[in-house]
Amino acid sequence: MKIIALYSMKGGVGKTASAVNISYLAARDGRRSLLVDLDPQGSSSFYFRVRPGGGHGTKTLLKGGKKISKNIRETDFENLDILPADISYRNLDLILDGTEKREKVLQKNLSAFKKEYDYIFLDCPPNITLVSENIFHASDIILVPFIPTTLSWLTYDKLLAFFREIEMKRRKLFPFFSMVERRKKLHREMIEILPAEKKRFLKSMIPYSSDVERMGLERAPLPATHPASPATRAFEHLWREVKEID
Amino acid sequence: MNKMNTNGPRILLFKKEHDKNMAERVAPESYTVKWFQTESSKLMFWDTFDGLVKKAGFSLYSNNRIFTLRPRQGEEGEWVVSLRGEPGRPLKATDFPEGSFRKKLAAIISVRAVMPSPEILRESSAFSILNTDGKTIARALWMVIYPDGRKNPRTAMVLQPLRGYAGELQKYANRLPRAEAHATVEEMLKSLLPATEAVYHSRPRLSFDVNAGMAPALRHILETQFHVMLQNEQGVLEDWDTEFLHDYRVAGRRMRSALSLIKPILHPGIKQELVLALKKLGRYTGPVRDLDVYLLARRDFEKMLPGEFAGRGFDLFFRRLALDRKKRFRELKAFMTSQEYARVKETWRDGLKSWQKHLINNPALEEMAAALLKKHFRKLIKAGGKLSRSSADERFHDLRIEAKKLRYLLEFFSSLYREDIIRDAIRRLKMFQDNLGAFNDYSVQIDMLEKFLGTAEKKKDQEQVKTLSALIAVCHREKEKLKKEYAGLYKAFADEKNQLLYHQLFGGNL
Ligand SMILES: Nc1ncnc2c1ncn2[C@@H]1O[C@H](COP(=O)(O)OP(=O)(O)OP(=O)(O)O)[C@@H](O)[C@H]1O
Ligand SMILES: [Mg+2]
Repeated sequence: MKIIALYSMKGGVGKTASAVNISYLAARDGRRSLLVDLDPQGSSSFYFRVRPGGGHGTKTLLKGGKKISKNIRETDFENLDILPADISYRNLDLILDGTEKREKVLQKNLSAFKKEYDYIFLDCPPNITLVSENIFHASDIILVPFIPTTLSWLTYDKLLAFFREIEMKRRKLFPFFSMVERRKKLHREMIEILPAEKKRFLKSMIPYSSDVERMGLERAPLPATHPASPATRAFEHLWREVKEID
Repeated sequence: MNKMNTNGPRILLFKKEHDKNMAERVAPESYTVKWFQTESSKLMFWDTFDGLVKKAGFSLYSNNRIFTLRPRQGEEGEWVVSLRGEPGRPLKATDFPEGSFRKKLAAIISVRAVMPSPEILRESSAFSILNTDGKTIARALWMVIYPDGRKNPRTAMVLQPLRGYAGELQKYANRLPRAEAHATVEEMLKSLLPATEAVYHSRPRLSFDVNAGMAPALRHILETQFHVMLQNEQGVLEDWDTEFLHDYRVAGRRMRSALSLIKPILHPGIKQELVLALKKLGRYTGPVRDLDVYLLARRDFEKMLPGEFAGRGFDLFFRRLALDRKKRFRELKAFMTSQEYARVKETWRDGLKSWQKHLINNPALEEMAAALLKKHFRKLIKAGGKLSRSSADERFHDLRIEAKKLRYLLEFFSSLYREDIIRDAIRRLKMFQDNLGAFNDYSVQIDMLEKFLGTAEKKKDQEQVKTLSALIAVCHREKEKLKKEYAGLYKAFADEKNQLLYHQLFGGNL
């Protein structure tokens, strides 16, 4: 089992869009996949038409095993399950704070699903907290959507600094360009400079596409509804690249 | 209410016929139902005459030429094989291609044959149930089942909740009309098949015109059993299954018993002719049946023998039996396709047709039946009381025959008495008979084994000698065990309650 996080300190960069689409693509490949919606906003749950948990499961993720299992739901797509967001995740940091080995709770609890799934995808909320630290520990691969702007560069550097600080392996981090608009000069320049500066950039780029925007209306993964869209191809490319990482 | 207590599929067979729209009508408001394609398939279930597959907790069915063997719900495993050629006839394990399916089936039915049920036609349409959010909460099947040609369709539904949605689906299930729940689709389909007993009875219940006397009653008994014989004829000839021959023979024995026990009714001349015809038949059927009993008991013997004897010699012995059976069966088949056999049947047909001509007597039915039953019960009690552990084997054999006579009489005339009482009388007798029957089986086997042993000794086949001697010893041991048990069983049979029962039934002093 591999745990893949979609993470960024910045909001609105395409974490959820990527998590929904590549978890769907993994499942379409026949791999048993679980998408964990860690964002209390519940966007990825929304895309799969699954209602977020009502908050009774305050400690779902902390209790692990059976408690998590009870909340898992089957999506409409074969091989793909989802652990819906829980409103209570808002307090997750506070609760985690009081536990032992507090930065490794998520890792421990997800390991219970080693046999059940080939992949677990984590759709993460945008910030750096104790929850994020848990995510970093639990994940084998951390995918970071990166809008090609200078601001993104700055935030990414902050992330690298934080990794150094907590002595986390930076090798887990894989940034990729997201919401790319070729007609913007800045985007073109950034795409040229950045990969040379930071060698770990993936080759795949997700273009800015109105098809992705419309996912919110259609409430389904893009490849399922728009198999021929250029954005679909980009996500497929991304997934092919990610599954080759070892 | 249809309760949903697990996350497994719910299989519901509706009490009444419904149309497909029902699936949508019952959905809570703002839920939707999405239909997919419809498929139709034809299914047949297979089992031996006496339901060995079912008894072993399995189910065997075919869909076109694909055969599936599956254990009861909740158990692991499934064996699938495809068969070339038409599967519309009885099949033995050896008719299937070699492999794990065949091995598994052979372990269940050994040398017996499975026969097909009537064909069940099934049309299934897949659909999904979506909740208010347009989220699929269950995948489902709508089924229209024709268990019996195009008549009397039944409707059923299979509901499989998606993980995490069993609770929501319950809301839908609660609104469905009355239905029976089944553990598996196969089991549900099987429950729709007509009961096999309705088609074939080895012991049909007879009804008589009480005022017409014993002569027409005897004719009715003979005619019915003759019909049972003929019903089994093809099965015997094709060697579909050993049970055909068994039932065929038993019917013949009942006919002989009826003729000799219920007298004087017929002229001795015709009676003699009819009995001789059956005897001739018995000369061919008997040896095959004896070998069948042996071959069927192979596993029991294997269990009873200490390991060192159940080796090559044992194997060889059974192979020889199988060869012998083949030969004897060929003889039987030759006979049954001969003019001679045609004449046996002709004798019987003519005899029954010209019945009236041969009558010499027609006593009152009820009186005579009661007198016969009383007489044979008394005889059995008396003879049985004289036996003990040390009595000679022959005495036990004689008693077995006496018991059988009473049993046949009880069965022939059962419709004249109250059903529950007669059933009780038969049950009590059967317990007693089982001991005597088993005793006889061992004796027959010992005789046969000794014959084989003689040959093996002459041939100086040490391994065979070893196995056969061990088998003979086992039979003797089992026989002695049965003798020991006899006294207790006799006491139970001859006790006051049973005497009273016969008194009640057949009147008079016992
Ligand atoms: N490639 C794209 N092209 C066009 N619009 C996109 C693309 N990717 C995402 N969007 C849109 O941008 C918005 C933010 O995207 P998304 O929710 O995937 O980002 P996020 O990083 O998960 O945000 P948050 O931090 O709020 O969770 C959404 O409205 C989404 O439809
Ligand atoms: Mg998001």
